Parts: sequence; C-alpha cells; structure tokens
Amino acid sequence: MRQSALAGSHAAAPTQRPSVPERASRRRRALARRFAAALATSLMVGAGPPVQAHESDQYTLPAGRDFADLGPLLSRNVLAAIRDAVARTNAEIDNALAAGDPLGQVQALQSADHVTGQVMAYLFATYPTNELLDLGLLGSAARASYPGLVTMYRPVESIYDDPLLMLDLSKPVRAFFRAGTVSAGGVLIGTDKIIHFIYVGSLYHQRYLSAVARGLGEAEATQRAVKATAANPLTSESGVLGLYSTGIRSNGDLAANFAGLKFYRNLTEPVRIGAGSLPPMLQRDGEHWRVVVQDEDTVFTRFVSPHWNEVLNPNHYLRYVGGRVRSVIGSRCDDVADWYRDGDGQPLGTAWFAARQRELATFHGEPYGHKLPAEHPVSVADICRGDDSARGRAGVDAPLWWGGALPAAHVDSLGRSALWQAAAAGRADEVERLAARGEALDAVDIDGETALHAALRRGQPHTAKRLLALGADANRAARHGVTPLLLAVAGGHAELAAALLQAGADPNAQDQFGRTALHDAAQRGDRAIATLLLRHGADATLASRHGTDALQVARRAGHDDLLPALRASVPVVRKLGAGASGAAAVSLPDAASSVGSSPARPAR
Amino acid sequence: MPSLSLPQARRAPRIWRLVGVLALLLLLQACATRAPRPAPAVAEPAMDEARVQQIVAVWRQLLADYIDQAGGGDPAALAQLPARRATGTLRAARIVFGALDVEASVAERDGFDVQGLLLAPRPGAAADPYVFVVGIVQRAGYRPVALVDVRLVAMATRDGRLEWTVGDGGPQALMRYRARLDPAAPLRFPADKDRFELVACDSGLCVEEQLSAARWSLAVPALAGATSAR
Repeated sequence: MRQSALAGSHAAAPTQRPSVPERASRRRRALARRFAAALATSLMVGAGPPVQAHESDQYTLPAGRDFADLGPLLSRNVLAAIRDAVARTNAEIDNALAAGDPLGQVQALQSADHVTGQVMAYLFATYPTNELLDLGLLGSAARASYPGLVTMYRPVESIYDDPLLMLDLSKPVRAFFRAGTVSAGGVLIGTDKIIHFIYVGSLYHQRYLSAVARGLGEAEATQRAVKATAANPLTSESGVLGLYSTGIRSNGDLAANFAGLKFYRNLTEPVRIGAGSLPPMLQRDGEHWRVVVQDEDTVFTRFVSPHWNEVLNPNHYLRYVGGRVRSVIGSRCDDVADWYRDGDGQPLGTAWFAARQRELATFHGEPYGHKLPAEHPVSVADICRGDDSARGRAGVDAPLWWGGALPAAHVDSLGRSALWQAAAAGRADEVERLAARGEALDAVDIDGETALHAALRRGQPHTAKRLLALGADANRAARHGVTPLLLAVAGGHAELAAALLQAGADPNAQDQFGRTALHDAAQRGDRAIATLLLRHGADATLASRHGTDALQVARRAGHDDLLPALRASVPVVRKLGAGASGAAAVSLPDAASSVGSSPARPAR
Repeated sequence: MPSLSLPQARRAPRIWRLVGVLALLLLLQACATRAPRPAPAVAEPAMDEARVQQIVAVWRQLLADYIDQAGGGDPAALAQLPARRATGTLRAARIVFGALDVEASVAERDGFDVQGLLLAPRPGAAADPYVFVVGIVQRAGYRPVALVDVRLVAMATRDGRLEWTVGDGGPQALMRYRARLDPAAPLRFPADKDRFELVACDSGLCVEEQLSAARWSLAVPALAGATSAR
C-alpha cells in the first residue's frame, strides 16, 4: 500500500512537471524578481551615506566600568587623513606645474574646494562604516592599549530590544543597524555620529558651497544646507531611511552633521563655535597647502559636543515606538543616574537634564534642525522625574556645571573648591572672578592636584593659561609626582608648555617613575615640544627609575627624526648644566655613549 | 478500489520560512532584555584562595604584557594610563591598571573585573617596589554584583624581570571596606571616594582605606615607614 502511494506520487509528478519552455520562463521571472530585489536593496543602501538608519543607545552603558578616551586616537586618525590629502593635493599641483599646466588646472587644484574634497575622500577611506570602526575598537590590539577600560560598548539589552516592540516593523532595522557607544573628549557618543560627521557633514558642506556660490551669506548658506538635507524624502532624518524605517528622528545625528559642516569649512577658513573661533587647519604656502594644526589631539574632539549624546539631546520618536521606549527608559532611571553625575559624584537631577536639553536645542545659538515635542518628550527630564526626591538634586537650581552649586570658600568631598571646579570646566571668567575674591589658586584636592592640573587634565588650555597669568604655581607636583608641565606635554599643548616654561616650570622635573617632560615628548614624537624643552635646558640623559632616557624612548617609539636633536643636546647640557636656557645644538656626540648606557640619575 | 495515500510532506512556501526565521531572530532579541538592578548583597560570597590567586595571576600577566609592549619593560608606561581614561573621570589622577572579563564565559555578562590601584613607589624612593591595591569584582547579568576580594600586590624589577609578591585577602578588612560602600552607587573598585594610604607598620607594608579604616598588609621590608595617599 505504501508502495502504491509512493508510486501514485511518482505517477502524478510527470503530469505536474512544467514543460521546458515554461521552466525557462519561470527561471527568468525568478531571476527578474531577484534582480529587482537586489536593485531595490542597493538603492536603499546606496542612496544615502553608509550610516543611515543606524541607532546607538547612551541610556544603556556598562555598569561599574569606565570608558577609554578615544578622543586623541580619533583626532590623530583624522589628522593623518588631512595630512595624506594635503600631500596628495600638493603632489597633483607639482605634477601639473612640472608639465607646464597645459590644461590650466593648477588654479583648480589649489582651490579650497579641491583640497577639502581630498580630505573627504581620505576620511571616507579611514572610516567607511561604523561597523568596521566598532569591530576595530573591539579588537585585541585596541583593548590592550586601554587596559581595564571599555573601548566601545554595544549593549545586548539596548532600549530598542524591548520584547513588546516585537510587533513593531521598524524593530528589525534598529536591530540590525546598530552602532556602539564610545567616549571622545569626555562626551559619550554613538559611533554612528562619527560617520554622520564625516559623510553627511560633507553633504552639508557641498550644499553650503553651492549656496555661497549663489551669493548667500554665511548664516543663510548654513541654514540652506541644513534645510536642503532635511528635505530629502529618502535620506533625511525624517525620511524613509530615518523616521520611517527606524521610528526615530535623531537630534544627535543632526548635530553631528552640523558639526561636520563646521569641520569641513574649518579646513580652509576660520569658523565660529559659540563664542570662540577656530583658526583654519590648512594654509596656502606658496603653490602648496600646509597643515597648521595646534593641539593635534583635539583635531576631531574640538567639534564633538554633548549634542551628540542621545540622553542629553533626546530623540523624537514615532508615537508607538516612543511609547515603548519611554516605558523602557522609565525602568532604567537608576542606570542613567549611575553615568550622569555631578563633580561630587552625586546623581544629577531631572532639572539638570531639562536645562541641558534646552541648551542643546541649538548648536551654541545656531539652529541645526533640532525638533522635540513640546509636551512630554521621550527624555530623562520627563520620564525620571519621580526619582529626584530619592536620589537627584531637585533642590539645586540646575547648574550646568557642578562648581556653580558650591558656595565660595567651601570644598566638596574630594577637596575641590569652586575655583578648582571652574578650572576643570574651562570657565576661565569664573576662575578670574573667584580668584579676585581671594580664593586660593593652588589649593589641592585629595589627589594633590591644583586647579591648573584640573584644567590641563580636562583639556582646557585657555583656562590653564589664564591661571598661569593669575600666578598659579607652575611647579606643583601632585600624586605620582605629576607636574603641570608633564600634563601639558602629554596632551600635546605646545603653546601651553611654552607658557609654563616661561612661568618657571622646571623642564627636568621627574615623576614617580623618573620620567621627565622630554620622555613624554619623545614618546609622542612631538618635535616642536622636544625642541622647546631642549631650548629650555631639558636634560636628555635623565633616565627613568628603570634606566630609560628620552633617546631610548624616541627610538623605541619609532621617532627617529627626534634622535639628532636629542643627541645634540647632550654635550650642551653637560657643559651648561640643567638650567641652561636657549642652548643651541653645537655638536653631534657619539650616539652609543648616550643610548643604552645612561646611568639613572637619582629621582627627586 | 480506491488507493490510499499518505499525506505528502509539503514544504512551507519560502515566504513563510523567511517569516519564521525573522520571528525567531526577534524572539532571540527579546530574550536579551536587561535585568533590573540587583539589591546590594548583605552577605557577599567568599572566594576560595586558589581561585583568587588564579584571577590575580591573569591580571599580573596582562600587566606584565602591558609593561613589555607599551614601555619596553619600563614600568613608567603606567604613567600613561590616566590619560587613556575618559575625560571627566572623577579621580583622573589615579593610576589604575585593569583586566576586564577574567574567566567570563560571555564578555561583560559574567566573570570578574580586576582593577589594581597604584600606590607606591613614592617619588624619589628609588628602592620602592610598585605596590597595587587589587580588587576583584564579580559580574552577573551584565552587572557588577559583588566585591569578592581586595589584596596588595607588589611588583619589583630585577635584571629586566618582574618579581611579584601577592598579599593575603584579609577578610576582616574586606568586610569593613564593603560596609562603607554606597549602596546607591554602582559597585566598582576602587570607588570614587576611596582614600587609600600607605601606612607604616611592623609587617613591612600596610595600606589603609581611610574612610572605612580597612587595612591590608604585605611583607615587603623595603617599604616599611612609607606614607603616601591615593
């Protein structure tokens, strides 16, 4: 019976089997369907920059762990792309000039537009997608460079993973197009923002240039660029690849785009960010372009701002998605409080978040396309309100920086005064006001650090300079023997290092490891700072406790270009003593005598 | 005679198979929901000595690798660590060397985080070894759940090699230290407000956390009489 059934089945098969032409036709139709699907996917993906529809989550962070500061790394990579682009542009100019410029293209090659376009191309190659960036940051090499720190965090339990969002059709998009969170310049940002900055920023810049070419002024051209990008039905935050595929319109993405515009403009012209102005990063030098960047470690981070953080600058959601996300965030107010704390380590209240949210609605006063519902936005300020009485500082008048809540002449639990906190926050005017009222400039916290240390550690060179001008101690050593000069050199602040040396900072001060500022300059390969230190009498023979001198450090780090200057300084220092200032290179000593055989000078 | 036939096993149309796979993926996503924050444990688990030694050995090895790769064998590479921590960290001046996900079956979900806070040498004390207060934090459900051990570890360099001395756990000190931790703050070691201090003692080296008065010791004679706060 079974056999007959099988036979029947087999018998029926030939009658159902399509004819050869029919099969060919089916194959053609299937192929056509596949081709159409592939084309649609390619259009969707290729229509916009590679970051469209990506989301990150700064509400869900690694509990009990600290982030690595990727600001210097990202800045150095961006600077490397700028340098490569300039080198290529200069080579193109040279080639055209050598050929006698038969096509009359030299002028075009020397234009700001051309060199900016080259920078874009090199940046696209450096950071093609945030997925690749995330992968690199999770690699063993990156993790070994930042031991015990989180290089990139992509939670498996993000706010977009709520099970009740299962029926939401936009969830698969959010599930597969994810970006991690990193810390850059003290701000927690999604890696998708970096790609927004690079790619969508370049679109903004192109539109800005066309508006300028049509005769519009700076402000109007900027707004034209913002509006033109926002109006794109496919690639804008409110378009198919934004709100209608993810359910999210990200104000953080828009801020990163806007900062990207500022960056590309700043390559060849000064730009304004808030009250400050950034000088151009490139200058014409005869026929060529030249990179003239100060503070190399901040080339990228000077454009990063809290606008990019989606907790501080919340998103606008489609109603259904927003409702669910609101409920998930509501269950995580404790987690948010862990990460957003004041200078005394206490959780910040919702009043602070509300003030921050208002502040970030513009980019230092300039509109960047920010939108948020006036009533009950999906934000910490609105959702976590009930937690204030228990944990937050509801009673405080929501200062945007912790020092504002400290009464003068008092210190917090870490021994930090209002002046110390103002310096850490880069509020130079406040520092000056408090100093004028008699607050001690050199009061130390429980780690022995003064306001000058605080300003330097937090990358506030302008405030540090103001402190020096007010008479702050340039030689005060904190725990581990760290002096302001060591911090300035480690941060690559050449101008500040010069100011410290002028103020009497000892170029040969050693920390607890026996390292001097010259060791740090040699490690970084910072020729300008090394030369400056040597001119002020830095002793290249001083060795660490382990017996390593600056020459060995430079050689190990692969900065061979520093070796001649370091070697040349040795006899000068020996003759004139460590306090010699303005010593010039006079002779080339035997390299072998100074490398590997320097006796460790007793540490101070 | 009517022939009997068994029902044919029909394959689901491709679209339904696709829907099935998508539903499964979404279900798996839903399983990854964040657990609520656990209440602080009243009595935290004690960890057996052999396991602690094993975990500390992993941390030591990573530290040795770091000194080798970043400093060419010179512990001065540790001076670069504070600058690698995110700007705005509350105690940015501290030098802490850490190892994450030790013995973790899934990164970040479980296992242990080991962090060592550097106390000595004092500036100018050429003979001092490098002394760390090392804390082991257990993780579960993607969160830190218990501080299971704190002890002193000393590292010295001799003829280009690193020599180690690992102290005892000191259960009384651990209990005292735990009792002072803020239950409202996320568990971490060292805590933001800790004040570890090297203090003179007969047994060689002692470290006290000033706020809790918890004290650990280590037999390193070279450091007797040293005082330094972190």
